[in-house]
Amino acid sequence: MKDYLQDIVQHTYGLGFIDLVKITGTSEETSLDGLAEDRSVILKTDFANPVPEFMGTFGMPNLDRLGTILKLTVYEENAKISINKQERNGDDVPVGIHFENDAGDFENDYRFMSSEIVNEKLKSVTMKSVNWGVEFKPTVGSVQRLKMMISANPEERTFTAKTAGDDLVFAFGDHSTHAGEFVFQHDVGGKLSHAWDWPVEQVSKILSLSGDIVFKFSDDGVSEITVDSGLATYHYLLPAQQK
Amino acid sequence: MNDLTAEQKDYAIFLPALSSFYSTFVGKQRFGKDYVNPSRIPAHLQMPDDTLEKLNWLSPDGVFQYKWSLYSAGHANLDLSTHVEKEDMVRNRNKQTSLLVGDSGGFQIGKGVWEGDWKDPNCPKASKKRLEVITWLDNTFDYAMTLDIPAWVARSPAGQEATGIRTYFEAVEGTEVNNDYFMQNRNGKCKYLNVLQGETHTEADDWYHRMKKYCDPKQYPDTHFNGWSMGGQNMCDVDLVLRRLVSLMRDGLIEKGVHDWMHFLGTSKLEWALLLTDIQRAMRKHYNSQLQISYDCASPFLATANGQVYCQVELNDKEKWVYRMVSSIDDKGLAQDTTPYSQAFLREGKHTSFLDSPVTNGLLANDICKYAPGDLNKVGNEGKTSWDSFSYCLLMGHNVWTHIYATQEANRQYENGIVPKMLVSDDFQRLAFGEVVDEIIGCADSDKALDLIKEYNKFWMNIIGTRGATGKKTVNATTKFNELFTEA
Repeated sequence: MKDYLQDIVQHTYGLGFIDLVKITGTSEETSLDGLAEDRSVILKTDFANPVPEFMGTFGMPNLDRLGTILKLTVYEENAKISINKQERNGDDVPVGIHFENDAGDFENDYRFMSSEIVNEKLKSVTMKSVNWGVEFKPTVGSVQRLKMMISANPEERTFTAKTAGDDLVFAFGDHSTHAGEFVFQHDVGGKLSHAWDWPVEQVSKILSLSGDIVFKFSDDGVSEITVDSGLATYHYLLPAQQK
Repeated sequence: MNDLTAEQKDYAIFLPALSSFYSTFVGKQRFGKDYVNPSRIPAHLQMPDDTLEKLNWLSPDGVFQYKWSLYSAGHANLDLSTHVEKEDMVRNRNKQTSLLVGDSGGFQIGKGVWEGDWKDPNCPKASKKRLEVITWLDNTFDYAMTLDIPAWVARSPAGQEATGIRTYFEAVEGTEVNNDYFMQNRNGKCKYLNVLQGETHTEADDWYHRMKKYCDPKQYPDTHFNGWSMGGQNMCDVDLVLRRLVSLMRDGLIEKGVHDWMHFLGTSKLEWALLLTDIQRAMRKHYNSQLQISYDCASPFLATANGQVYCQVELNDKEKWVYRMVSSIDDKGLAQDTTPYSQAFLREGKHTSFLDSPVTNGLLANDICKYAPGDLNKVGNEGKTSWDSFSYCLLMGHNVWTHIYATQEANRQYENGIVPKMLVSDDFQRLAFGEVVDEIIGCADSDKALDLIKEYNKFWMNIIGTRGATGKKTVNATTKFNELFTEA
């Protein structure tokens, strides 16, 4: 249970732009949805196995609070973590998480958001069908080169992605400012005919997550970074940035 | 400085968005003379007939004069068939000394205050309101906004509920219904400004292409609208403003003697007083010598409602330019204090300086701090504040003068070569907003003008607007999100 919670917090609030997620669970599957307030990132997640504690639909708000509780040293060893449930309309629905330390003299309750409220605050987001022009697994070295370029262009909020031959090139700035570009990935095996802009902070933070990562770009103006943490596969969809 | 009309020169015109709370004082006092007890009126604001015309800047009797204002249908009594005392400042203004621009109340539709199915030309509720609004605008104002339904209604739950308009395209559809109605039913007394909305560049472009026909004399020789009003992203994003001007020139829809007014809705940033003057001068020089640009905001009134008073205008070279507002004196212990207001303000440590206006010059501390401890207000309660309602009116008058003065003084300093940080860049080469705009507007080839706008992309992103996606936030995910994703 704790592993799932840490995994969720790391892949949502830990990025700095998703503070509320919606969990939908059945005996067959568990999924998680999230959305950055500025619509820069749409998160869709499938858990590798159904999480038995996550049944029904509920929201997890204030993920910073959950993250803080999970880091409390009193819960590092032998903590008892359980789901609080209440009966609503004849069903037992999860309403929160109870934390208790080994000695039983320190406890916290993290409260879920009801399905009615979370469905109102976090509507279901569906992406239209797009064609993925480029798809590859970024290397650790590529991500480090991206971070180097970001440090040289700290004022840039977006970068441009384009293909040059078989290479995927990221460009920062333009002729009117300091600028830079580099090959992010060689031999990506696809073409991008439209040089869209992408958000620096979001892309950098998502690519810094641990797990198996796949990066995709579409000429239609959306990119996807998929991160498989082992417990779940997180699909981060990023609409291109433009005026 | 009392005649602010004379000081206006060729600057873009600031329109105080006249508060109905304020105009009620001027209007009601014309009848019965006891809305404010004459003994309550400070000596320098008294008139022989006990009216409050000294506080009416639209009148030659005003303690200061300023020709221009905006008044909104959202706050007004629209029924012209009945005499309404509180509307008299607007309805019975001196038309020789004033020019009034009417706001149609699209904001009220967006917020769901004016209910009805605005997409249906025959909806009884919406039809009744349309008739009320156009009758009121036609017979009251020199210029007025068309009755737009702002694109942001799609983000307003109350607006969606009350109007049935849930998407951008439904807002467009409802606006087209209103525009058609206005064209068919206007009486010709008022000139209408075609409101442009849209929350992104894509929406704003789409809105323009759908609505531009209403300004086209070729399509509508007798009933076309007479100018433009910039709302949504159009009023806060310089890149988009310039693109739109290029489009208007290319399409022949900002022509001399035909479309001579362009208004920017809800614009309070002081730097915009300058950049709109720059744009106006460039347009007059290169394309339409009669074009007048205006902008409005309600800040002087809203500030007072929050107990704030304008005290200083800060116009330092290469810095952010502001009109400084702070909490006013409000102390029941000052109810007998006859110290001049400005001195009491400084003595009480509200700020280090106070710029007197013709309203406050002569005002005493106890003209504002009226209630002493134990005094009951007009509803019979002892409130926390020492202000009575006329205290608010007085400080609103002061705030209006200071806001107008600030916009004019900013323009004067700008002409003297003092420049706000936002309108100049010297990071790599010197870029001055006025020069760049002159180059763009002066471009005979619209494609070259658009290329120039693109060339200065980063420069525009340093210019912050009043609301919406401004500055660096003009580049965002909204357009592609709306295009590729659906929320349900």
